[in-house]
Amino acid sequence: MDIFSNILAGFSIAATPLNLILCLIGCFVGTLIGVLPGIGPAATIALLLPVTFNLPPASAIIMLSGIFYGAMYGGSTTAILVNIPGEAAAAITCIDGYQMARQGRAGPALGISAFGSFIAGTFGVIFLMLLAPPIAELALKFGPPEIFAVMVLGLTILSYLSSGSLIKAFIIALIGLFIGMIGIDIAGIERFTFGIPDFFDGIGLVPVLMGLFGVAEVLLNIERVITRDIFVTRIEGLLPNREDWKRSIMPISRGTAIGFLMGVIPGPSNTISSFVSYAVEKRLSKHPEQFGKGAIEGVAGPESANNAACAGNFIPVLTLGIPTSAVMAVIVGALIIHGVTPGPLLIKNNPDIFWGTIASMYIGNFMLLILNLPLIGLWIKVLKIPYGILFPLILFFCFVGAYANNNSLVDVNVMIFFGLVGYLMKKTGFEPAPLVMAYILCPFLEEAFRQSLIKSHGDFSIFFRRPISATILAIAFLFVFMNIFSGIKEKRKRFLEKIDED
Amino acid sequence: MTVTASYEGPCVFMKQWRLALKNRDLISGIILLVVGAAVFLKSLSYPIGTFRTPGAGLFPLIASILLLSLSAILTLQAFLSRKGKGLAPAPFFPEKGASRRILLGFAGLVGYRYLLPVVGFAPSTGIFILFLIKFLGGYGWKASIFFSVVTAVIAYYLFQVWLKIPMPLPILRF
Amino acid sequence: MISRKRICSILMVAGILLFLSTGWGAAQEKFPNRPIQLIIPWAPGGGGTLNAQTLQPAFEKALGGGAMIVNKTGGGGTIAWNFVANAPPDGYTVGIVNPSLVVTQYTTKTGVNFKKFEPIITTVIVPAGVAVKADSPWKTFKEFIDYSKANPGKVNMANSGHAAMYHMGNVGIEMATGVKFTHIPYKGSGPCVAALLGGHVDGTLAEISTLLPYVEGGKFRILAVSSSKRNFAIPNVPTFKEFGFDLDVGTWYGYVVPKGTPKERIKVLHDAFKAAMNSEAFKAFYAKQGGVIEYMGPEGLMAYLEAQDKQWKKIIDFGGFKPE
Repeated sequence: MDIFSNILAGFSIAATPLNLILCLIGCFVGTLIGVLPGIGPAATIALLLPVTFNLPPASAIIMLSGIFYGAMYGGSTTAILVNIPGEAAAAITCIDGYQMARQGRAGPALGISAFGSFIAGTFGVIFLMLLAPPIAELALKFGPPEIFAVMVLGLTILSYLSSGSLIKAFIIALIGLFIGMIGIDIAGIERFTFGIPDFFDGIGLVPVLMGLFGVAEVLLNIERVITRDIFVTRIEGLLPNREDWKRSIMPISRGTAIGFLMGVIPGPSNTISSFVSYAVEKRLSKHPEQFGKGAIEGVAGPESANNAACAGNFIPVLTLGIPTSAVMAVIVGALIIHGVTPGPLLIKNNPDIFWGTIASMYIGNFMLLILNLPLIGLWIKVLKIPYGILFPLILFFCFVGAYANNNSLVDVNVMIFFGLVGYLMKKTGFEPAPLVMAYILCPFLEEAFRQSLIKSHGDFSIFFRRPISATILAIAFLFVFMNIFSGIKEKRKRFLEKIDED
Repeated sequence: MTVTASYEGPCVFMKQWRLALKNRDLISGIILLVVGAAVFLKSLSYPIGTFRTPGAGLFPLIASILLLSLSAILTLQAFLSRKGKGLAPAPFFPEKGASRRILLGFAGLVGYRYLLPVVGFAPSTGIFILFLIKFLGGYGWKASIFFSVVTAVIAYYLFQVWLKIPMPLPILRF
Repeated sequence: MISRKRICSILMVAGILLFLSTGWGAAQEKFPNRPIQLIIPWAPGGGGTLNAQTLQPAFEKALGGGAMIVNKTGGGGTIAWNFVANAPPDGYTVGIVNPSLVVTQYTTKTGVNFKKFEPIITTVIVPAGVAVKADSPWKTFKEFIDYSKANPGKVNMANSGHAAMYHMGNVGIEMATGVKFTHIPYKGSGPCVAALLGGHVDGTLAEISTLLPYVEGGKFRILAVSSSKRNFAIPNVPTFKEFGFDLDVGTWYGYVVPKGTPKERIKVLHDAFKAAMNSEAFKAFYAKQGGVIEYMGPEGLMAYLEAQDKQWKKIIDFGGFKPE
C-alpha cells in the first residue's frame, strides 16, 4: 500500500536521534507554555523560529508542531487544578475537571485527560494520514454561510453548557458577544472602545479568562476564613480507575470524531469542538445532572475533542497551504522561511515534510503521554500547598498571565475588572462558560454574517439555500427546540405533581 | 382591625420591597436592562447600513434587542416570584467579615497593578504576596516575609530574566 | 568593632556607586549598545515578520548587535506605527512599513502620516496579481474585465481587509477600467485564497507570493500583475501597464525610524540592512516568492512614499472611503 510505505519513510525521518530530541523539546516547551498563562503556542512558535534556521525543514516543523499539541496537554492541567484554562480550548475542562479536583479526584481527572488526549491525538493522526485530501476538499466547501451556521450551532450548544437557568445562559452569552464586539470591526470602525488604543484590537482573551475563571474563583474562596479544606486533602488515587474508564471510553471516541471533523473548519475549531463534545456527552449521558459537579465524561470528551482537532487543523495546512488559525499561520510562515512552499503541491514536492510531520505527531503524542503521566504526582502536590499560600500564587499567576499576553498593564486592568464581574456572576447564578464561548465566536459569527449578506446582496435566504449551512442550522434549531421542549415537559411534570399534592 | 391593617400596610410593603431587593435576580435583571439599553443606544451611533451592506452597528443592535428582551423576562420572573419567597434568600456574604476579605483581596490586586510601574516587578510582587499571605492567608510576619521574598526572587528570574518578558521600567530603579 | 558612622559612610558610597552604575551617567555611547527592536505591525507568520526574520541573521552580523522582532498587532497596523512614531528617536526602535501605512492614513482615524518617520531603506517589492480559478471561463485579463463590465456587481472579489491595501487595489482597477465589483472582505490573504479555492468568490487581488503555490498546483490562474515589468516567476502574465493603466499596488517592505533620529544612527542601520539584503538567505527566499529585490535608500524611499501617497489618495477618493 502506498500509504504504508510512505508512513514508514516518514518514521525513518521522524525517528532520527536529532528529530526525536527536537520532538521532545517541542513537547516539553509546549506543555510548559500550556501551563503558563499569557504565553500561547503561536507566540512561542514565532519566538523559537529563529532557533530553527539552521535545521533542516522537517526537523523544524517537527519541533514546532510539538509545541502546538504540547500546549493542548498543558492547558488542561491548570484548568483542572486551579480552574484557570491555560488555553481557551481548555475552558470547558474547568467545569467538571476543577470540581473533580475539589473532590480529591484531581489525579483521575488529569489522568483521563492525558489518556484521552493521547488516544484522540493518535487516532486523529491516523485519520489525517488516511483522509487528508478528501476532507480538505470538504472543508473548502465551507464558505461564509456555512461558517455562520457552525457558529450559530456553537451558540445553541450553550443551552447544554449551563446547569442553571437557560435564560441566564443566553443572557450571559449575549454579554460575551458584546465583549467580543469591542474593537475595530471588519469595516474599520471602532466599537465600544471608549477611545482606549489598547482596545482597538479587542479585549484580549487571556485577561478575560484569567479574571473570569482565576480571580473570580479565588475571590469566591476567600470569603471564608481560609481553613485548609478548600480541597479535600485525602487524594483518591493518582489514576483513573476501572469505573472511570468504563464511563470515559465512549466520550473519548465521540470526542475524537467530533474534534477531528471540526478541526478542519476554519476558526476557533479546537474550542468549539470541546464545547460540542461536552454538550453531546451531557445529552447522551444517563445522569446529566452530574455534569457541572465532577462528571468524568465532562473531562474525557472535551479533552479528546480538542486534541483530535489539532490533527484536523493540520489538514488544510498540509494539503492546501491554508492556515485556519493563528498558530497554523505561524507554522505556514515557518515552512515558507525554510524554503518550503506550502500549497497543493506540498505532498508531492516535499513528501519528507508531510510524512515526517505525520510520523512525528504519533511520536509526539506518545512522548506527551509519558511526560504528563508522572507529572500528575507532581501536580497533586501542588494542590497540597495550603490554600493560604496557594491563592496568592494563583492571583500572581493570573496577573502575570494577563500582563504577558501583550505586555500591557491595561490587560491587567481588564483582568481585575472581569475578576469582579466573574465573582458577581457566580454569586448571582450566571456561569462564565457561555460568555467565553460567545466571546470567542463573536468575530467569526459576525464576519461570516456580513460576508454572506454582502455576497447575497442582502438576501437572507442564502443561509437556507445552500445545503451544508441549511443542514447545520436545522441541527441548531433542533437543539434549541429539544431543550425548550424538555424544559416545558419538566415544568408540566412539576405542575402536575403539585396538583397531585394538593 | 382595619385601622391596624392600614397602619401595618406601609411596613409590610417596605418589608416586601426590601425582600425583593434582596432578590438578586431582580437586581441583576435591572442592571442587565441598563446595559442592554446602553449598548442599544451606542450601536445606533454606528453606521447601521442595510442588510445589503451591513454596517458596524447592525450586529450590536440585533444583539442588544435580544438582550433587552431576555433581561426583561428575567426581571419580570424575579418580580413575580418575590412574594413566593417566604424566607429571605441566602445572604450575599456567607460569613462574617467576608465583605472585608473580598475588599482586601481586591485592594491587593489593584495595589499590585499600580505599584508595578513604580517600584518594578520583583519588589511589587513581593509586597503583593506579603500583603495577601499576611492579611488573608492568616500567617505570621515571619512566614509571610519568607514566602514573599522567595516568590519575588523566583518570579524575577523566571519571568524577567529567563522568559525575558519586558516589564515596565520602574520610576524608582532597583 | 566597626563603628556606626563607618557603616553609614560605606553604605553611602556603595549606594552612590550603584546609582551611577545604573547608567544615569551614560552620555556618548557606541550605537548600538543594546538590541534594536524591530516592530512588526502584523501577526507572526505573515509577510512582514518573514521579511524581518529573513534579514535578521545577516542584519545582526552587519550591525554588530542584536535585533529583537516584536509583533504589535492591531488596527490594521496603526497601533504599531503609532508606537514607532512616538518612540524615542534614538535608533533603537525601528518599524517595518508597507503600503498599508499610506492607505490607513486616509481610511482610519488612527492612521499615521508617513512624514512622521525617517525612512531608512526598502528591501523588496512583491507585486500583486489578479487571480481566478484555473477552471474559470476567463483565460485573459481582457475577458475578465469585459465580463465584469457587462455584469456590474456580479463579480465577487475577495480582499484581505475592508478598506485595506488590496481592497483599495481592487477599487483602483475599478477606477482604471470602469468595472464594478462586489467586494467581500476577509481577514488576511489566507482566507481569500481559501475562498477562491472553494469557489465562494470569483477572483482576488493578492501578492503573488501567496498565489504562486496555487498556480503551480494548477488551481489558480493569474491574469495580470501590478509591477511595471513582467515578473520573473510568472513571465507569461501581462502587467497592468500592458492594458493601459498603471497601478503600483504590490506589497513593498521598508524600514523606518521616528522623526528626529540622528543621521549617523540612520546610516548605521541603513548599511546593516543593505548588507543583509545581499545575503544569500534573503535573495533565495524572495526568489521563490516572486519578490523583486528593490533597494531604495532614505531619499529614494521618501520620494516613493510621496508617489504612493498620491496614488492611493486618488483611489481612496474615488471610492469615497473616509475614516469612520
